[in-house]
Amino acid sequence: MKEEAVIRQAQEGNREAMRLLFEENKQRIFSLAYQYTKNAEDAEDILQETFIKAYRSLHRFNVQDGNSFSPWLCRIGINCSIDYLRRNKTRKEKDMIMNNIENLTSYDKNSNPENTSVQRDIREKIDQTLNKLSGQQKIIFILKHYQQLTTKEIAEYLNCSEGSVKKQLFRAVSAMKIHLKGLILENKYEMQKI
Amino acid sequence: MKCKKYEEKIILHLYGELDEKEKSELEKHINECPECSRDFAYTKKVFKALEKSKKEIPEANWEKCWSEIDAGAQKKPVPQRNFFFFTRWAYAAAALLLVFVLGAIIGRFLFPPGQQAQNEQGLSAGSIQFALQEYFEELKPVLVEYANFTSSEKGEETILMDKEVARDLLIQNILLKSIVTKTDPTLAQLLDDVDIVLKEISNLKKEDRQTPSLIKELIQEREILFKMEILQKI
Repeated sequence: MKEEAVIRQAQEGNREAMRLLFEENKQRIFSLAYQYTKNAEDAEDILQETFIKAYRSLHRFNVQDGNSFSPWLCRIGINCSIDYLRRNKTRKEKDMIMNNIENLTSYDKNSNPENTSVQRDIREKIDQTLNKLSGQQKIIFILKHYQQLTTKEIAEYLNCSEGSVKKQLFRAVSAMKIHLKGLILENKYEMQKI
Repeated sequence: MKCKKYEEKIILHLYGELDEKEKSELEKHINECPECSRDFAYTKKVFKALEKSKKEIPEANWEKCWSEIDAGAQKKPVPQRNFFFFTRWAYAAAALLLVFVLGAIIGRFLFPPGQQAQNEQGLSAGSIQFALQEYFEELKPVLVEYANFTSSEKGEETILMDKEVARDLLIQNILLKSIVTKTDPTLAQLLDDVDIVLKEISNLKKEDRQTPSLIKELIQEREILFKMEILQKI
């Protein structure tokens, strides 16, 4: 069935059509929320909030203008992720400390402990750098790097120009380059192993 | 000194975002410029490290999620302005009023006439309040317009004007936020919400039919106008 027809049916309250839209988009929204929050339970909450919001305002979605459902839903997902993190900031900070403790005490027994420790440092540095980026830079970096969208698609999702997406992406990657410099250029770290 | 233009192109190239012409131009430059060549090699290492650090996305409990969504979508949205919400704001308003009154009384006794308490930026509470009132007066019509938005309205010229106004207001919003962040977290939170709305308006495109509805929803969901009204009255 064409997406347009499915949306029309969902707008009329057809639950099967709603389920179909959920099935087609669930993975993308969940992984976006997971990359943003780094927590599966939080990502499930965001996924639910996103779809509930979308279905409640589905009557406002204009199918006639050739609008695509996925970018519209993704924008709701992005807003929900930003909002969720802001609402749960204090709890998230505690979770992050706990995660760091967990990361410090757990390691893969099959791998070289030295490499594991470097990997852990790098992962930690990447997370820290991500948290230092502005909200828009962070979301652009996630959409590009983890969701592998093109800059054109990101521009459509965020309703901004492709040039602006490229600029923000450049800034985000530049920040990563600066913050990872010490770790990557350290002699001990064997790049071919990553 | 690295060539700025190519620094950006190196990143886009590694993301596969360059066309053939741009790619060969970049490759030619990298072969000729030792500094960009070093930057290219280092950026590749960063990309490898980022790739390796990707965490696997866990599997969600899709059935549980769907049943929550199904139930949530059938329910009517809970009215935002409920009793607890109102009492919370009423308490906040009462507390603020009390602080102002006590401040005024203590101020009269502690400080000699003409010498007023000033905040870190050198602004008195009175001047902040005045600036805030002025700002809300300018902001309100814009928000009211979007809060009452219906799909047939916005023409190209109106959108252009809205964008311009929103950008001006955004600057005022940032300034006010920086002043009140430490002293008044409730107001700072409201200004944060306004910030999101203004950014959405200033990024509006003429062909975009969905965003004005989302802005409308944002204003209503976060009770921005209601909160502003309360703050204006105290």
